[in-house]
Amino acid sequence: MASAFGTACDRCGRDLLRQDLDTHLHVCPDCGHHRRLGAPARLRSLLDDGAWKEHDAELASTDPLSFSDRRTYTDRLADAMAATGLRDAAIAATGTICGVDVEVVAMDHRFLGGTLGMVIGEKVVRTADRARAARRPLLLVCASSGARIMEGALSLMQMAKIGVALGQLDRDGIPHVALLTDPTTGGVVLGCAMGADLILAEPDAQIGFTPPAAIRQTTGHPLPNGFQRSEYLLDHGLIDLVVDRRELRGVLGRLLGVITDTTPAPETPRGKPPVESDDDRPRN
Amino acid sequence: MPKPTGRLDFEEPIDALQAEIDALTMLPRTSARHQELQRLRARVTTVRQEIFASLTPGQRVQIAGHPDRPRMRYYLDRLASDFTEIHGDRHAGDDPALLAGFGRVGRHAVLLLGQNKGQGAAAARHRLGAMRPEGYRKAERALRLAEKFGRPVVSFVDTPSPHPSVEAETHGIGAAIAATSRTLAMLRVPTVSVLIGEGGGAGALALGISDNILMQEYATYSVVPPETAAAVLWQDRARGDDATAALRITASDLVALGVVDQAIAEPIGGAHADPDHAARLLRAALEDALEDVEKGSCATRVEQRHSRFRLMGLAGPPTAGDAPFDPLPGER
Repeated sequence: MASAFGTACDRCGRDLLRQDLDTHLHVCPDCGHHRRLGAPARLRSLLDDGAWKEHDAELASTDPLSFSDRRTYTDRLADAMAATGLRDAAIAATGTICGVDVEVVAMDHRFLGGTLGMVIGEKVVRTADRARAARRPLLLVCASSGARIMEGALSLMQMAKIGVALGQLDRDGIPHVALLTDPTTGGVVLGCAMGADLILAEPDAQIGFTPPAAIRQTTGHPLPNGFQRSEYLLDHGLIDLVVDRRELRGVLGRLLGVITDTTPAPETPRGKPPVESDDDRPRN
Repeated sequence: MPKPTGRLDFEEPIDALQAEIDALTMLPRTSARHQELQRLRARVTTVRQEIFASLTPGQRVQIAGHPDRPRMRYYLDRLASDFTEIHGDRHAGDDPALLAGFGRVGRHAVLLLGQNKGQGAAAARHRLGAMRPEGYRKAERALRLAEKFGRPVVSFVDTPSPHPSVEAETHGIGAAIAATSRTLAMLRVPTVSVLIGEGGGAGALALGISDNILMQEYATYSVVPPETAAAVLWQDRARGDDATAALRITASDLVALGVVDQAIAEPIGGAHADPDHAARLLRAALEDALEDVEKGSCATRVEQRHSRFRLMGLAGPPTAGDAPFDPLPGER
């Protein structure tokens, strides 16, 4: 919970001071627990000078099914917009990482669980097209608990739509890097994320297709230790690297510099302004 | 007709009449028996029409997963000739949930592949169409062969979800689905998909990114199972009927949304009431669809496929489009 001191670590309970959170990018200095970052904080932590040019910020869901459960989808959207200041669950941006130009889409778990619907679909496609036109690498930062159920089959179709755009990117030889953060779950999300050329993950992020409860229910067996966590995926050859958030910018800058054969700027101190806590804003 | 193995509640009036008919046929042939049989058979048709004219969304879902619903294998035997099955992903194994092979549909020499749920005792081995990564990798391998040989593709979609297991996750179900769906989306040969039962989420979509997408009348296609939507959004699993209606997962809904091109009629009472008739209707629709997608060059076809999916959901400004594709074997 937020307090005058900042907050307490969800894993070890240590008091985290606001200035510690900023210095350590919301990683607990004691136990290394990575707190979730919203899309703005994520971009500030990765991009040079903490700055970027945003694209397609106006895109918002049209509620194609006029969906209503206990509440209407439009009400849920309005609440999420008010709580996060975003129009949907991702930001599309152009920026640089250690001097290397990059096109980024960063998802935001605070907005309806970061669920993937028509807005993320369109933003990823347009960003992939920009990457293709400028011949810059594409970085997809995933933070999503699955498909946007309220958009029904059109949410599912975003996987096809993104698949086509990423296929075209692949054909044109443009690098596609995915950064998986907690959580990256559900078939529609993994169907986009796991197709990347290179896959990085933050430590201890949950990454999986079928929810563990559903697997336990079907098989009746206990799940292996660390199942569907970053380190487990690394051990089983499913991802390339697990990287501490405090080193991510350096690792990405070096990697992107080599694969695009550009000379990265020497790693400068991380961008100002410091990363604010997106986690302290209300969740929905 | 196969003997019913597990009927649905709302089909009980039909079963009761059927039982009467069965009992009557054991009696000696008389004109009274003949008249009574005719009366009962007419009654079955009427009752079936009545029941199926006013199905609830939940009942439609039950039909899509009906134990007697014809599987891919059944249709394959009736609409394909010269079929040779192929096996294995060349890495880890052979997934019986995914059936693939080369054969002819009418005058078209094609690759046929899809989820085969299996019937009766075989259903367990086929895991009711719940595929493992090796199944998706087998599918991807088959798709690449189709492209190499310049053969059109017909895919059958009938899966509740990928197999919910530790093995599927550990062996990369996400990566396998991502690779298969991309390969299908980028394929230079003509592609037709047909949804014949359950179209469950990403695992179904991976075989459904095609030039022409057909769907049987009582099949379903949904991003998540309705009971999951009920649990997540209504926080009440009993609200499955409401969730099913709100998700709009029937063939007519999906044609209206532009997700599916054409609904294929089924016999009254669903495909399981008259599988042979269902197969004939499916075959006619497939031959027409193949005729249709084989027109034009591969460049136009791929471009059209890509812009079709590009326009699903929100649509942006025109994009860079596709770089020219190499012609197919036999083209130019």
